[in-house]
Amino acid sequence: MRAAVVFALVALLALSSPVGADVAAICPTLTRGQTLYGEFVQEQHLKGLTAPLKTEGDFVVAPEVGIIWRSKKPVLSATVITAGGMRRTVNGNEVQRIASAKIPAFAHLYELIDRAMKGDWSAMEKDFALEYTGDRQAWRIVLTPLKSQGPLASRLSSVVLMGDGRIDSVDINRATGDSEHVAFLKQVVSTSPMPDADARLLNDKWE
Amino acid sequence: MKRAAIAWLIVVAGAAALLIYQLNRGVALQTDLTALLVQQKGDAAMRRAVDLATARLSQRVFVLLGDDDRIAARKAGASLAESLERSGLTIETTYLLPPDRLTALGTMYFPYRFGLLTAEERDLLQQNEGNQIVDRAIASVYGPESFADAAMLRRDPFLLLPAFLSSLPLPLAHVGLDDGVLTIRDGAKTWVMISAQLTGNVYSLAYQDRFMAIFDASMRSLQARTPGLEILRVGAIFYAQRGAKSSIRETSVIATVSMAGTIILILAVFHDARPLWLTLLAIGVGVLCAFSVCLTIFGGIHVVVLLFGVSLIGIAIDYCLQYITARFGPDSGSPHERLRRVLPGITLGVITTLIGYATLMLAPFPGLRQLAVFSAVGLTGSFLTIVLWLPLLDGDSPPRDSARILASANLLWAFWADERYYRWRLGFITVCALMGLAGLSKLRIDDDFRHQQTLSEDLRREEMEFRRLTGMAGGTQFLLVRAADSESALESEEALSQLLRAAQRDGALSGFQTIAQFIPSIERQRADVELVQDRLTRPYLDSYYRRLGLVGGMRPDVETNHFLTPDAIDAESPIAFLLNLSLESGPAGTTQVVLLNGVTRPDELRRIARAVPGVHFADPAGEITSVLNEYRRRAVILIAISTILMLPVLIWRYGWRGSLETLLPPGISVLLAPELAALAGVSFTFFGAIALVLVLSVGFDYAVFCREASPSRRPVTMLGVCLAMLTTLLSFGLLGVSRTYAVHAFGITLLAGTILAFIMAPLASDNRKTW
Repeated sequence: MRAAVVFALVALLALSSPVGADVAAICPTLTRGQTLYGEFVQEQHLKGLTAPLKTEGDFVVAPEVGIIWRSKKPVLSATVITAGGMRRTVNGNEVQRIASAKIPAFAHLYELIDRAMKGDWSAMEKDFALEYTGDRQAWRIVLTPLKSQGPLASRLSSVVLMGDGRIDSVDINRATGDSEHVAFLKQVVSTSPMPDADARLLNDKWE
Repeated sequence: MKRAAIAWLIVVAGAAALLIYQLNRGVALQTDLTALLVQQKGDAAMRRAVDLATARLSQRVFVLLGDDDRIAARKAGASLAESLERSGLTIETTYLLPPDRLTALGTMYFPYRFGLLTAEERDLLQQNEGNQIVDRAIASVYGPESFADAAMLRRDPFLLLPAFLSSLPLPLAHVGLDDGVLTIRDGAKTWVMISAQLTGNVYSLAYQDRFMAIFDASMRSLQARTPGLEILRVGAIFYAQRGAKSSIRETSVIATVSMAGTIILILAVFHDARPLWLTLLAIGVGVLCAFSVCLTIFGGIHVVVLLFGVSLIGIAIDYCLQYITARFGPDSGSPHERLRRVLPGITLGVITTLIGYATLMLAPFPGLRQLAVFSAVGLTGSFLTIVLWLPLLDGDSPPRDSARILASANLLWAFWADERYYRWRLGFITVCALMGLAGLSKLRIDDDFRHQQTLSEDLRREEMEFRRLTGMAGGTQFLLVRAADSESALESEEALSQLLRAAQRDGALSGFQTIAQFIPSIERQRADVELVQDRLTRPYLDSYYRRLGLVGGMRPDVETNHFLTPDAIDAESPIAFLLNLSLESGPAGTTQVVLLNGVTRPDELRRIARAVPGVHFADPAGEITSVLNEYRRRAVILIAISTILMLPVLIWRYGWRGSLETLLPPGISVLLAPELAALAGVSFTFFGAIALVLVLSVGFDYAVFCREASPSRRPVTMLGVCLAMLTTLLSFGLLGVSRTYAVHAFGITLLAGTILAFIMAPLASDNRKTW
C-alpha cells in the first residue's frame, strides 16, 4: 500500500527545533529548496514467510519536487514519486509507471505528505486521528485511519512514527496483521542543488 | 393543338396515379451519402455492419461537469446521471462505479491470470528473459508501496494480474477513478464524467427534441443549484440538434424571402397573378413526372437527387418567362401567336439543357444517373406543359405601361451594341479579366466532407476543452473485424494489434481499443499459460520462493484448461463498454469493431486492414469526402462533354461562327464563376460543380433567347431573360447567405455565374458588330 511510503516519508521530515505541544511543533519540517538525503533499512514481516524481507538503500526527499527511494539489495531498483505519479526501475529498466491522473487517491496522498513535510498537518488530520507524546527530544506519533470502512482502513491499522529531533523510525501495521519497520540513518539536509542523476529522475515528464 | 394538350393531360394524370400508387407503397428515401458511390459486389453485409457501427458510435454521449468544490461536482454528476437514466432514452449511463464492481472485475480475471500476459511480458518470455519478470516481482514485493502478502504471493507469485490490469488500454489518458467516479483534477477544478449510450437515432428531429428537453432541463436545475458549474458536452446528438435547429431557421428565412421576392417581382412586372400560377403549374408538373418516373425505374430516390433535381427542373422557369413576357409590346398577338414566336428559342434552350443533363448519365455513379433521369424527365414535362397548356390557360390582356419596362430591359442590349458605351465595355472586360486572375490565384479545391458542414462554434470549443482535459483523441474511423466465430475474431484482432502497435509507434495513430486487449483469444491464453509454465514458473519459481523465504510452495488454484471468453462481461461490469464493440455474434459469423483514436495517416490503416483477412477500414467521413471528390471531378468533365455535345445542334442552326458566338457567354460564365466565388472565399467543391451545370444551362438559355430574338423583339426577350435571372438569384443565389458551407458554396458560385451569363447574353446575338 502506498500509504506505507507516505508515512515513512512523512516521518523523515527531520530538522528544526520545534517547541510546543502540537504535531507541527514536535515533528521536524523541511522548506522548499531544502533536500533531505539519508539511508534506510526496511523490514517487512509477512505472515507465512520464514524470515522478514529486508532491504537497504538510500533516499532523497525534496518538498514540492518529489521522493526517490533506492534499494540496493536484493535487487537494484529505484522508486520515484512525484505529483505526476509513481515510476519504478529495476536494474535501470522501467518496469512500472502509474500516473496519479489515473489514481486521484494517489495524488491526494502525495499532497498530504508534501504539506506535512512543510509542517501543515491539517490535511492529514482529515484522514487520520493523530496521537502524540513526548517532547522534541523524544517523541512518538500514532496515526489511525479515521474512517473504519474506508480504503485506508481496509489496508492499514496504524502507523507509528518515532524520533528525537529527527525521525528515527516508522512502524506500519497493516490490516492483514503484516507489519513493516523502517529505520532511517545518516540523514543530511542540504540546500545546494541535487545531483544531476537525481534531478533527472524527478523531472520526468508525465504527458 | 388541343388534342395534344388532352393527350398530355392523360399522360400527366397517369404519372400522378403512378406516383400515388408508389407513395402508398412507401417511398424509400435514401439519405446515406455513401449510397451514391459505386457499390462493390458482396459488400452489402459489410456496409450494414459499417452503418450499425457508425450509428452506435454516434449514439455515445460524454459530459464533464466541473466545479471548484469536489462534492458539488459529484452531486451534479449523480443528479445528471439519474435524470438521464430515468429518461428511458439511454441504454447505459455510466457515472458511479461502486467498489464491488471493480472487485468483480478482479474476480472475473483472477482465475485466468496465468494466461493473461502483457505484450512486454510475452516478448520477454519468448526471448527467455523471464528473470526480468522475477526481478520486477521482487522489486515490487520489497518496494516502499508493496501491497503483496504471503497469500497473494502463493496464488500469483510473479504478480502477473496487477501488471495485466494496469496495462489495459483505458481510452481516456487523463481520467482516473476517484471513489468510484471518473474524475479529472485540473488546477483547482474537479471534473466528473458521465457517459451514456443513447437508444434512438440521433439524427431524428423528434428524438433530438425529447433528449434535449430532458438534458437542458437537467442542466438548468444543476446550474441553478451550483452557479459556478461548468459543462462540457461531446456527442453527435448535440451537433446534429444545433445544426438541425439552425438550418431549419435558416431555410425558412431563405424560403420566405425567396418566395416573397419572386411573387413581388412577377406582380410588379405583370400586374397580374396569372403568370405566377402558370409558372408554378409548369414546374409542378415537371417535378411530378420526374418523381413518378424515378420511383418506377429506381424503386426509390436519394434525398440529394431530390434536392438538386428540383433545382435543375426549376430552370424551366426560363422558358415559362420567355413565353409569358411575349405578351409585352404592341404586337403581342394571341397566346398561340406568342408561343409560336418564342418556340424556336425555348426549344433550342430545352434541347441544349437536356443534352447537359443527359450527359450526367455517362458517369458510372448511381447518384448522377438518378439525377440525370430525374432532371431530364422533369424538364421535358415542364416544357410540354408550357407548350401545350399555357397558351390555353393564358388570357389576352396586355399589361399597362409596358413601354417603360421594355425600355429599361433594353438597357443591357444598348450596353453591348451602342457606340457610346465602348469604354464601359472595355472597362467591364478588363475588370472581369483582372478579377478572374485574382480569383484564380485564390482558387482552392476542397472535397473534405467535414468542411462542407458548419459545426456550432460553442460545441466545438467545448469538445476541444473536453479533449484537452481527458486526453481523448478524436476520430470517426474504425476497423471492422469479421470472422466465423468469436474466437477467430479475437485471433484476427490480435494479429491486427501487432500491426497497429507498430503503426502507433510510427505516429500513424495515437491509440486503439479491441475486445482482445481485454479478453485475449483462447488460442493466446493457451499459449501464454504454456509460456508462463515453461519459461517462468518451472525455471524460476523455486529459487524465487527461496529468496523470499516463502515455504509451502505455490497454490495456484487455477484450472489451466479453462479460459476467459467475452461472455464473462456482464452489463454491470466496468468494461461493459466493450459490449458495444461486438456488433453481431451468431451462426452467421461474428463482427467486431476496433476503435481507432487520432488517426493521422488513413492510408497506413487501410494497408494494415488489407494485411489481415476479414478486416475492413471504415472511414465514414473519408468515404463521403471521396464521394464528393469523385463526383466533383466527374461533374467538371461532364460539363465539358455536354458543351461539346450541344455544339452540333447549335451548328445546325447558327453555323460554325454563330455557334461559337452563342457559346461565348455561357462558356465565359462557367469558366469565371469559380474564380469569382474564390474571391468571396469559397473553395471549389462538388456543390460548386453542380452550380456550374446550372450556370451552363441558364447561360445557354439566355444566349439562345438573345440569338433568336428579332431586333424588334429584343426588349421583350431581354425582359424575359432579366426576369429569369432575377428569379434564379432569388431562389438559388440567396442560398449564398446560408451558413452551411456546401449550400453557401453552391449559392455563391451560382450567383456569380448567373449574373455573368445574364450580362453577357447579348453577345450571342448575330448583329452586334459595333466593335
